[in-house]
Amino acid sequence: MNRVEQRLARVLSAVSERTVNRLFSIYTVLVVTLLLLPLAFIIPISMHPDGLARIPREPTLTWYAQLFEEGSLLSALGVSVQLGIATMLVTTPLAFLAAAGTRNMLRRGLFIGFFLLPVFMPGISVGLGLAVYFELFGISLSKWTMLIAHVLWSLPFAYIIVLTSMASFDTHLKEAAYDLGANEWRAFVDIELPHIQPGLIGAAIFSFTLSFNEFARTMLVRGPTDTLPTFVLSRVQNLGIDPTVYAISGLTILVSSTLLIIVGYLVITSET
Amino acid sequence: MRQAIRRRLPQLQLAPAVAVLLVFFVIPLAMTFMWGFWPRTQFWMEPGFTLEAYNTFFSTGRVDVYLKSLRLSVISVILSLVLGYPVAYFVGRRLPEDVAFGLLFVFVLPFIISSVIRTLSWRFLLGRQGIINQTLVGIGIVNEPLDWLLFSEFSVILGLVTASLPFVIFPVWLSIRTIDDSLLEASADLGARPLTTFRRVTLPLSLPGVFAASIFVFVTAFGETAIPELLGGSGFSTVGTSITSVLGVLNYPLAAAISSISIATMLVLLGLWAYFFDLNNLVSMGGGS
Repeated sequence: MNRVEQRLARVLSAVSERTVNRLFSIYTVLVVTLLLLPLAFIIPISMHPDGLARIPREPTLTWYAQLFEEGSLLSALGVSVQLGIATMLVTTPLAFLAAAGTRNMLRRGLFIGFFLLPVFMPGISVGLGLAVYFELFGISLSKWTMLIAHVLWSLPFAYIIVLTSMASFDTHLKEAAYDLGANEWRAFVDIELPHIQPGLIGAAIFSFTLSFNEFARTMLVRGPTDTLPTFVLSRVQNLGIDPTVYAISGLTILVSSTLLIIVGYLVITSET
Repeated sequence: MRQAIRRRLPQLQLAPAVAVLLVFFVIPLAMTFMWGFWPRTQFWMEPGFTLEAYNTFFSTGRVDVYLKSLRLSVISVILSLVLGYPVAYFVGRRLPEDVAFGLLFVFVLPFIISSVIRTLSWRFLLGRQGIINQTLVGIGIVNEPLDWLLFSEFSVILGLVTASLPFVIFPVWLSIRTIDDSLLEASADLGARPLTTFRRVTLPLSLPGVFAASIFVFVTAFGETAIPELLGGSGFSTVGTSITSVLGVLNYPLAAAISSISIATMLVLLGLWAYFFDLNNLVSMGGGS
């Protein structure tokens, strides 16, 4: 009797486990759809010959060809990519150092709170503060002022990601390495770095994407230079949505997905 | 010398980031409070003291705009957690590692596409002539296109939530993934049912990630200008868009005043947060210290 009961319980839990997983899968698919749905429609729409927001019967690449004749749009894209890479290169080491320092401090909460502060402040307030500050000190707005705004924006995120990945690292392992004769550097490279590497990669990717998407802060410190988001928004405000906006969106989606697949491939092959 | 550097290492590591934040963040924001009291000139402002900007703020409808922004942010946080947490939990705990990894790349994708472009794409999905309305009318669920789908609070919240969902999934996934498997096994061995294990072990250990996520979402929703502008329509204003519109007429002191009030509110919220939750929990979990 007892054995039957146990078996029944086991079967029940196995069945419900599978059902639970299925429910989770459905939920996840719904959320993914919500995220990707708008993006999935942009590509067919960008190929509509009359530039209408409809699925075209006879797709065309005219609008894409037109993109390459628009110098201002291409330069905005170039600026965004440059800024993204620069932000990534500045923010990731800065965040790593700050996280490593925080972990070794006694009053961690204080530093965590301080480094997270930029995240708590509305983007527009940070942008306004910087813009007026630069103006008062006679610093003209350029790519450099945008870089400062982007580093401020991405630093807390990169910091918290690195810190989270460090949190699960058992520092006793490092002490064991010291005991075995490793110096600070070797212990870091051989023991800790492999553990926190996903966190560092995550921080770098986050920094790039946050910079690439940033609008609220950028808008006020950009001066005469346009980034992709400011270019697209001012164009929509002045001219309404025109077909080239769909084309630039389609192009970003294609390029971004390709980049992402390459990165994903590199990461997966390096792990095996 | 080496000894001295080693002893001072944490301070040296902290120095660059602290310097950047002090010079380009703390000082400009602190000065914002001062600029709000400066008298306005034709194109700029000059040092001095006047309450004009604050009078303007409280005598126009801007207070309501302010409260509305707060409400939108809170709703966005709740909805993003409802949508994001189960997904992060599923990906982090119930999927095989390689599938989970592939799925996380799917979540990065909308992220590396400018939010302006993602927001625009909602416009043609939700509009009167948009695909959703056409489908609904086509199937016969509604007789005529739904107006509230676009240029409404609904569309703004939808835009804010979808823009911030990856902000929820990543930190929560990170915190869930780093939970030691043996803790969950121990809980099961002690006779806890899966739901109990989730409630007593997984959920509390994932809270640091949930807090991080809530911060991310709140600020996105609060300081955002492009989403309310593109999805809210012309009459829709939030704190962000009201600062932009004031800057459009070169009223810098008023912009600084609105900005100061936003900063002050965030500082109050931050104080409450620090009072109720121990920030040390973010790092002392799992092994460290």
